[in-house]
Amino acid sequence: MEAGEAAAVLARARQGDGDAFRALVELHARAAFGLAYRLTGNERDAEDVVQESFIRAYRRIGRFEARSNFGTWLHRIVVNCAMDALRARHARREERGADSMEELPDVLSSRGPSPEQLAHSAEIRRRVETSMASLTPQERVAFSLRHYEGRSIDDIGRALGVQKSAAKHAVFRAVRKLRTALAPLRRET
Amino acid sequence: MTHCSDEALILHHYGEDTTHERHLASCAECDARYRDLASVLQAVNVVQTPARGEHYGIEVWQRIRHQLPEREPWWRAFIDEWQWAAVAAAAVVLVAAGFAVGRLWPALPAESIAVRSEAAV
Repeated sequence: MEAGEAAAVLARARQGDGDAFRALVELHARAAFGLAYRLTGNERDAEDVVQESFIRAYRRIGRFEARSNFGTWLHRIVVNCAMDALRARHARREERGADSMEELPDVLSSRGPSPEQLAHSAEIRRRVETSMASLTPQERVAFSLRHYEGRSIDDIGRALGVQKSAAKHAVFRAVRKLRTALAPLRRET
Repeated sequence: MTHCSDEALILHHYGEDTTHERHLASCAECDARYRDLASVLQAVNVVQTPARGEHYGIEVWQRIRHQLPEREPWWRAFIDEWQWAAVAAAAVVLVAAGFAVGRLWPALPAESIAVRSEAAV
């Protein structure tokens, strides 16, 4: 979609045109899913986050400033929805204890070229997922935005609505926990 | 020699702080710690995002189209939640102030009102 066409679609969506909003969903859904998955680490949660994000975007599209980038605006909504999903998951885990089935990461879909490599990469993946699941929602989102999305600490602070120093320390804590969790694996290799 | 902190190495890894490059080039200990950190962060990349097909956007639309809520009225865009709270608080203060002024303002005695009315006539 060209810039002019995209702007026209956005303008129509802001005026309440359902077809125009559908075009925005079709254009941005895959990127939204990628972000939601990297933030939540779980397909089912990521799907829920994508749906909730577009529903929120639809409700609030009147607030969207036409000169801004819809993708950037939606990115922020996805981050907020993912934070909500992670907080809810965190609270459920606190209630039930750490190792409920629901919290098991999606490790079985991993593909590797040989049984040994598959076993090793699956083990790494399992540990990474498990240690990511042990992070607080803020640590996980801050780390994912920094590590997977390449966002600056400043951006992360803005996305999370916290001071830059808080965003930075959330990343530090996440890295420290991941290092600790993955240390045994490094000794085995 | 002052060695790099773990935090400094993390910021260096993500390109948020480039002031330690020189030190890392000359300090074997910090360089080894940095390599260790980098290998952990490299391992984290093993997690891959499941692919979504070309028509994923249409699938999402089909799922949400019947759940779409009422859109906010246009003027709602100008007033955020916290601003609503501020408007409500200001209204309460105004009403309370009006009530207090009405109660405390010294009322003119009835005689002086009568005298003024006569003088006016």
